[in-house]
Amino acid sequence: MTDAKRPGRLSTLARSSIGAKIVMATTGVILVGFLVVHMLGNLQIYLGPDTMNHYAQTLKGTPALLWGVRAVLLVSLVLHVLAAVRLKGLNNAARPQAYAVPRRYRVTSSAARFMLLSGLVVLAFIVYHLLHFTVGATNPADFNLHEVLDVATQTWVRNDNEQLIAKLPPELVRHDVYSMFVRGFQNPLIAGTYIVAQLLLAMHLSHAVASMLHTLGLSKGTAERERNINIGRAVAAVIVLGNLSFPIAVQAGLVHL
Amino acid sequence: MSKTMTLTLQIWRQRSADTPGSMQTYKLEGVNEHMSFLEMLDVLNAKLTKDGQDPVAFDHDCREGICGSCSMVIDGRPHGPRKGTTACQLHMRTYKDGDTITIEPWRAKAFPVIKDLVVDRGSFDRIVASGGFVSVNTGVTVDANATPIGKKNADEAMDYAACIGCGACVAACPNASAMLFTGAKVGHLVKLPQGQVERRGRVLRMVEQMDREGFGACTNHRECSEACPKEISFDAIELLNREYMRAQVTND
Repeated sequence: MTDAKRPGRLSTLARSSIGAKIVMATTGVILVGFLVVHMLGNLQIYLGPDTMNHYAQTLKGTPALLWGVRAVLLVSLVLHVLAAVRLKGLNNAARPQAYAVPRRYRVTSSAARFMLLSGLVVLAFIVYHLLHFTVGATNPADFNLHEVLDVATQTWVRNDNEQLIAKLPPELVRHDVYSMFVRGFQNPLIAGTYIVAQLLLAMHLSHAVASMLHTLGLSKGTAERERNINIGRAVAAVIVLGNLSFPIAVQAGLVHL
Repeated sequence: MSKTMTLTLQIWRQRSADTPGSMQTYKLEGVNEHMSFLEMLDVLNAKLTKDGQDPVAFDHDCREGICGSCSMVIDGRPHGPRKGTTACQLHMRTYKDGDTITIEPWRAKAFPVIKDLVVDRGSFDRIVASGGFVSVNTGVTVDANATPIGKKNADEAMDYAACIGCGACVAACPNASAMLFTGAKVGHLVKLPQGQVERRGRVLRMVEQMDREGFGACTNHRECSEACPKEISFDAIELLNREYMRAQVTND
């Protein structure tokens, strides 16, 4: 067998439907990995302002790591969305005439059938979430909060004097993420928005995690596949229950200023 | 004494590939419970012919569940309600007197309707032709047991080879994807020593042909393996994904 008729490597990967699925799955692994770390990091809200703000200060104090991770996430998200759009296009084109009688599905779930819908809601939420807590565009009054190091006692104290903060050296000032977080979720509308978005994320992940394991071909046999489906649902539940706890805890007054 | 029943049939009628079709309703009396589904359609066609109407065109050949000809979505499910059963082996005892049954052809861009319930499944043939073969030296016949094959591999190869190419997987898939079919065809060869020579090129070419035919992509609904009358495992798709990734990173 000569190689003459074998298609080239990268060109086939880029064009093929399985190539798009592999992009979908590998970027999905990265994004889900981030969701786990993001949720675990935010659990520090329950340890009080000093722990939370120190965590935020540490992240911002290592810009190479911070921007490296952000770049990987942005590229992953963009590729994930592009692959989704491409696959949806292929899939819609593959059945130009719909069935006259609705099909009766046997095993698939609503989560699996409405991935694009839940994905679009989650995407819109990500944009809002970044504007809210990363850029500070939607609620600047909650965002521009700082703590100043009291050198005598070596404790961090809230300070709203912006002129003073502007003059202080950066090592004496840190972002008051704890207060931003609590004040954000004290608004019932914002808390409700986050809760709804997390429910859609739960729907998305309940199919997504198992689906990426299937696409990467990680289960051999029905028993392993059922196990991977359960792992997927468990990962989705852990991420979303953790995330849901934040607005609920603030609304319930368990976490306060 | 076998029971007979009266059924209301709603069947997709389409004169040719180019004319639009629609669902037509027929009342059929005296359906014996021991008839197969296709025999019930034979009775309908005899009646239609006698009445001077065009009989319903449907694919059929062996009528014993092995040729893969019959291709109809019955009440929203390819091959009907019973698992691991082709339409020809579905019996009317599954139904009750007075039931309404809907019958449609497979729906996929790669399976264009020729007439009524008959679709062109040439796309499957072209996928197989693109790589579903092994090259064998001519000359003296090899001894039967010259190439030992482990029990597990032999079983898996046999399970994948059970695919009859009917297309129910495509019909059942929300995306009209042919991944289960292609995976089964790749799988039954890759599990055997004879399939190793063309291993890499085979999967690349078959997937390329599958895409070219206009089938959709798998989103892991697993409806295909549930609808498969030969109960090909969803493993075929995971195997196809693994083989495809392997082909991207190896040279053999």
